Amino acid sequence: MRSKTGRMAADGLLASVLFAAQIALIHLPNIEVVSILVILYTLTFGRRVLNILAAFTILEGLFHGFGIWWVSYLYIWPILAGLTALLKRQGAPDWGYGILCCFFGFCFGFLCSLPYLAGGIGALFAWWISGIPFDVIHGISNLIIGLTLFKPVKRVLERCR
Amino acid sequence: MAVETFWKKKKGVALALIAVCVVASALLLCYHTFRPKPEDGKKEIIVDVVYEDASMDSYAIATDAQYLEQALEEAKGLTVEGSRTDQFGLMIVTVNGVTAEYDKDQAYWAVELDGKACNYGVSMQPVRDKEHYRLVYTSANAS
Repeated sequence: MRSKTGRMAADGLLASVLFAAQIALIHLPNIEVVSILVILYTLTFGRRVLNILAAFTILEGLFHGFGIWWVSYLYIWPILAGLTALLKRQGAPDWGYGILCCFFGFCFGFLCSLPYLAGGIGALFAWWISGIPFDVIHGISNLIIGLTLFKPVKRVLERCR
Repeated sequence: MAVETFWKKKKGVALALIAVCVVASALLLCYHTFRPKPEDGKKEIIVDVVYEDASMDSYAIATDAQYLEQALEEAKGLTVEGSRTDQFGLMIVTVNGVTAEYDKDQAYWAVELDGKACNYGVSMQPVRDKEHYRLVYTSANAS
């Protein structure tokens, strides 16, 4: 059993892994490993994922600027963590998390468009529609990444727990 | 028999993959139906550039361009530069040598169509005849 300080340090490290993974693939259009890592962090570390996500979200804002997009980061990742916890409770098979990762990619643009409601429903709709091809890429790539990385990364994370 | 056993074991995976295909197709159908559609043929539009001190340059542009970005490129005496992403296309940073970079200047170039903010970026904004655009230097600190 780690001490509280040890857990906090580990959470910080896991948040920085999330951030580094996001930056590493930033030039690929909506192809990312953050979603599968958030799913695996939730499965492995339970509620501690919320600390990790808080640190990750702050890092994102500090690095990219606290624009309107940042508001969506306050809820999209916790939503993914919540859905993962729900699937775990239902006893979902491993491939089920790959499918969750995929549908999360499909919905990503819509979820991110919600803060644009401030500019009217037209702005939200236009923002979502214009990004749909990228949401489809996001979903399909998340499916492939989710199905291929789930088991090996889970093994590594369980050793770090 | 072997097929039946396989189906029993993999039914969930198969149904999930079918659902993935259905949702992807539905999303693409939505995009095809509702995306901004350009107009062919000659169009005449007006583009005003409004600077920080409220001074203004006006450009009448006759163009065959389908989207605003190409129409702006065709305007004589108007220079527009910026950064570009795959998803959103050109994001205007500099107009006629005047830079509005949010991180440095706390300002941005707003794109307006007939007095209202455009819902699309200049690369996706379809151009129609007799439209009136404004590129407005907008300070984030302005009330």
